[in-house]
Amino acid sequence: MDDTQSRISVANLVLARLGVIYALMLRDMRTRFGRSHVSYLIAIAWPFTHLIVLVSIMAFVNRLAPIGGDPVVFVTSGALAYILCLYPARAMGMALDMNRALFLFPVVRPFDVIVARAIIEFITSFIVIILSFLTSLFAGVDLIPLDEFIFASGVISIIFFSLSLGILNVVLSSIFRMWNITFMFIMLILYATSGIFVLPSSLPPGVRDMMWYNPLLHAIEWMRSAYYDGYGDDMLSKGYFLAIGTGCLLFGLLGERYLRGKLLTG
Amino acid sequence: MIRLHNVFKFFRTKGGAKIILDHVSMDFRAGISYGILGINGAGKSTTMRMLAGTDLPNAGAITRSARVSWPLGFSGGLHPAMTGRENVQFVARIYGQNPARAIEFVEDFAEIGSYMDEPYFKYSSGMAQRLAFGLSMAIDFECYLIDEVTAVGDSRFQQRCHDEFAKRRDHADVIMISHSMETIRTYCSRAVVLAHGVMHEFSDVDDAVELYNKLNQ
Repeated sequence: MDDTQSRISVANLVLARLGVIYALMLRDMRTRFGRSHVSYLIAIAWPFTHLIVLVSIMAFVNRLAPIGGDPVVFVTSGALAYILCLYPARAMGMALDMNRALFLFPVVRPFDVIVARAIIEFITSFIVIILSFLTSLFAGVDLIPLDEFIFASGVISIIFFSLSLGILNVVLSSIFRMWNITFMFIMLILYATSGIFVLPSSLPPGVRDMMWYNPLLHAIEWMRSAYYDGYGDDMLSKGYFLAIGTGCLLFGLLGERYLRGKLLTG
Repeated sequence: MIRLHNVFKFFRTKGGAKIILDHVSMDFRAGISYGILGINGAGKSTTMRMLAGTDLPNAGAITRSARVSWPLGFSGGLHPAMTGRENVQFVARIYGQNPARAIEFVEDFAEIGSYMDEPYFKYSSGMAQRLAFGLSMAIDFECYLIDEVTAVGDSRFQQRCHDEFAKRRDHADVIMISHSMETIRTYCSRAVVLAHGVMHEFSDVDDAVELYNKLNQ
């Protein structure tokens, strides 16, 4: 096979994979909840409603933000980080269990299903963010961050972290039957110790040292540092957060490579 | 067409490892249709899934140089909540074929009428099989894997299946599992007997049937 020919066949292979992934995305959006075209709207409405409920309750409880300014901004910056961490990772973890019947068709590989869902979750996350800003606009809350670059890099990093965690979730849920429930439990613990309700700087140093290992804390600190000048200087480690995300991605991809047969048959 | 390189496949059972293929190398050549024979539990369906690529060997490799179908005879991959039309569109898309043309073909072939726009779970088993079979015919495969799917639908539909297969025999091959020696003789010119983890290949189907009958005793 000469060079041009092999290039054409590589291009064909890539096109074929993209075709499969596109078809899977359409199918996933249609069948995630129920069987109609509005099914995907529920996939957006769910995390969005969760976010609104969290913000409403917490803003009502914390009439006064611990750091000054509008309490809604304080709460939203934390809750948004949590929602963006939780939902994509959880949806990814369930991707194969919901679609295992698809593997009757040999053209569909587990990796295609994972990628298709990752793209959908990426899009969903952005729609949730846009909806949040639109809602804040109507509610008269100024949610525009102080530093747009920190905000945007934070959002991208958090989604990267969540999708990487999701790929690891796919592998673990194929090995351990109870993994999806265990994962929710772990996320609850991370949530409770993430400093979403209280400022970490108001806690004793011993507790803060323990909390530092919680990646969700860094996600929240990152988001808040986009809103408050000098926030997170003492605790936020972007390197740690990205390293944990990259580690999950690495182990997830390794698992996909070596447990492919297990992923296929469940 | 499909080549097995030192393929090893086993299942763990309570009584120890059950070996399906014990380091088997074999070449299913293009232009030849094969029958796979074996007693119950020999691993015919597992072998078929490995040929398709929906199950992986524990060691060794399987390479395909033709468009190989999914194992026909199962309709499990279709989504129960999606309509027949949506299912056909989906499968046509993943195989890179024109969805509209696939639908036209299946509508004509499966004859399920307005049920095309009903969710798949509402189908009777006959309708479901006709849709699944029509779908596999709507996609241009070079090798059809057939797992015991000789008795789909009424006799008229069976005749249509037979005719449709006959039409594509000159550019498509068949690898089939069947307990009906008549069917194997009709479709296949070579046969493989699967027993104790070994594939015995025969150039004469009658010799294979003879060994199969001996194993069955």
